[in-house]
Amino acid sequence: MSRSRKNIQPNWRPNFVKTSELPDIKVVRTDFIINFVVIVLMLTLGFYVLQHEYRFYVLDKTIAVMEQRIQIAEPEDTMSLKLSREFTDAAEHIAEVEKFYAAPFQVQDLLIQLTQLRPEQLIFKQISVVESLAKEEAAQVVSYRINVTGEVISLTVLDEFKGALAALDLFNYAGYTLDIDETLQGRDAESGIFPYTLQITLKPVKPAPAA
Amino acid sequence: MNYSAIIAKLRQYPVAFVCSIILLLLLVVVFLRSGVSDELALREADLNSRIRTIDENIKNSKDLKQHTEKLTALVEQIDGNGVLFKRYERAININFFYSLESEAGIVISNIAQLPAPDPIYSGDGPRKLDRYSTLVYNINLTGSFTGLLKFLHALVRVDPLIRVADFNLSREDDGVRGTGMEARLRVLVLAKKE
Repeated sequence: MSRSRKNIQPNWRPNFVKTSELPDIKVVRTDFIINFVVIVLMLTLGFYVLQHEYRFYVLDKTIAVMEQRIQIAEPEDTMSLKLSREFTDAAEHIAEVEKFYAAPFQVQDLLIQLTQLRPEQLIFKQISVVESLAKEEAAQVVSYRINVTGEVISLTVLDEFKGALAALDLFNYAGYTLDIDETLQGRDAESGIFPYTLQITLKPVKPAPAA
Repeated sequence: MNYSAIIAKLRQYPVAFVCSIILLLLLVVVFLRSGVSDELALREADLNSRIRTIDENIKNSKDLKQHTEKLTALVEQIDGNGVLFKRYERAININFFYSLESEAGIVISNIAQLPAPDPIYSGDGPRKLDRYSTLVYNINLTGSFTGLLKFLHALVRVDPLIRVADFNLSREDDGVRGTGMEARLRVLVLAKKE
């Protein structure tokens, strides 16, 4: 009979030893490690859960305070919003009225200024103002042309009058460029008078190209 | 390992068993409450943003009531009777200009209410009005220069909102060299939107 065959032979008498009830006789006891690991895991997770729950509690309280604050402020806010809408609506009306009057000058002011500036040796025969729409690089703009025709004895007087017109606040309106042209007809041989036409043009300044 | 062996093991490690059960329960809690954190954080951020907006609104609405009352009163004054012309009240509108004749000492020879609003203030015009419209009148008048100035001032002073857009002033062609002037005006009046 071989040696391996001998090993699988049943015990010749039954083994009554209950290993689970035998005392732990290991040199290094290991049973406590299982307890230790599980307790540590449980405590860690427990701490994690408690920390989170505390955070939720704090957040809940903060949210409740915020909601209460909003609830108190909401009527005032709603009123402010309503007022703001009313203000915007009214402001749009006023802005449109301002838009209606958005011209660089009023005709009556122009007439008064021209009359006050007119030198003795210069007379007006006709004054006209034309407000017109013009196309400027695909955009429509409003330009103003003022024509003054009359007679003058001395061309120096006409030049001085032109200079005085160019310096007028009325014609130096922000956002507009001023251009004054003069046209002289032949001098009257008998009276020595020059018939003249002054053409004053006010055009909106082109908006600067975006950088 | 059969059932009795498991029981035996549990009896061997009762503390570990109880702790494992608690551990499992805690894991279930973590799993169930995992969404709550995001939800609360989101809600807090929403409320914070709402409070910031409310604070901004309250800050910006300082004196808003007084300003709104002033503006609304002004708009009511403009929209009220006698300020805005109505296109269909043609006779009333034209009579309004005639009513200024005697005060200014001029004579209006012709007034025409044009059918279309001024192109500057309508359609694709650069000063397009959305809440109001404009009425255009061509007015021919004669009188002295002072009378004409008085008429122009009267147009500014009266309740309706009026602006002279075009203007042509020349000596009256009566064959006599006097003080008479002839003027052609294109007058714009702010009108009710139709």
